Amino acid sequence: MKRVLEQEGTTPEEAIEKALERLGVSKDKAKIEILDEGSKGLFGLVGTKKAKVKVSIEDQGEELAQEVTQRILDLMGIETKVETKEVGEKVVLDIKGDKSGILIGKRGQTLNSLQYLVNLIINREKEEGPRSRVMLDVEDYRGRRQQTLTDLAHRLADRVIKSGRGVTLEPMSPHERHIIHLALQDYGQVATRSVGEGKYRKIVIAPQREESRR
Amino acid sequence: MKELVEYLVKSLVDEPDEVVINEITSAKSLILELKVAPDDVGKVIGKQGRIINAIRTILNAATTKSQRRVVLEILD
Repeated sequence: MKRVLEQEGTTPEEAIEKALERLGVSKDKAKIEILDEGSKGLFGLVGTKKAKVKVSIEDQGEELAQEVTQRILDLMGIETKVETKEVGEKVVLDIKGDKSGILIGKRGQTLNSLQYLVNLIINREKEEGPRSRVMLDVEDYRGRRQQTLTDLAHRLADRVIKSGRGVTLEPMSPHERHIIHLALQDYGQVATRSVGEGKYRKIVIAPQREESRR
Repeated sequence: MKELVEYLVKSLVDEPDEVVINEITSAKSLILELKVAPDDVGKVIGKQGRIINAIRTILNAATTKSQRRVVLEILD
């Protein structure tokens, strides 16, 4: 998201300062263009001309996301502090505070809804360029969930190998299905695939033999 | 809770000035009636109601402690 501002001032420096203040950013994050140097005129009396500058900033997706998330949490009446972490190429907003249980919700439902809305809002005005995607996390819920799902996947895979019969998991989000697929990709004796549509899409873990017979 | 819905909805629509929310409070429930510009209705509901349901989930989480159930409805 790009924001552009034109600002006048007695000197270019003053105009830049004013513009940065209005945009709420520091100088190193903005692109500054001096449109008019301005003129002090004669003895500062005759022929004064104001300086004019153009300041534009490329709104950082993550900063906006942090701001939006914090705002929503404040309005929810939940006292928290949102911190931005970069994990690899992903931006993770870590929510710190009490009432984490309420924020996570049943099977992460609340956290996922919040994440969905934050992503919608930060990408709303974006028409070009890549969309920003942020992940929201509370007290390492994502990490713990990943561990739980990985353990579950391994346990079920062992059962499938022993019994020779496939199992179907409950519906999961794309991210959670991805975790299961990854957990079992090196299990030669079982194969995973997703069935169903939309939010009912779920994973089937099947013995490899059965898979190859088809 | 009105402020929460107002912020979320205004951040999602093209015409934030057209957003109107009525609060109807009774002993057991708080009903929020939401009105947006006709072209913005889809942006608030989303595919298969995904957006409005996400807003409802947030709203329910924010009011778990309260005695009143919160109902969010879209008027058209």
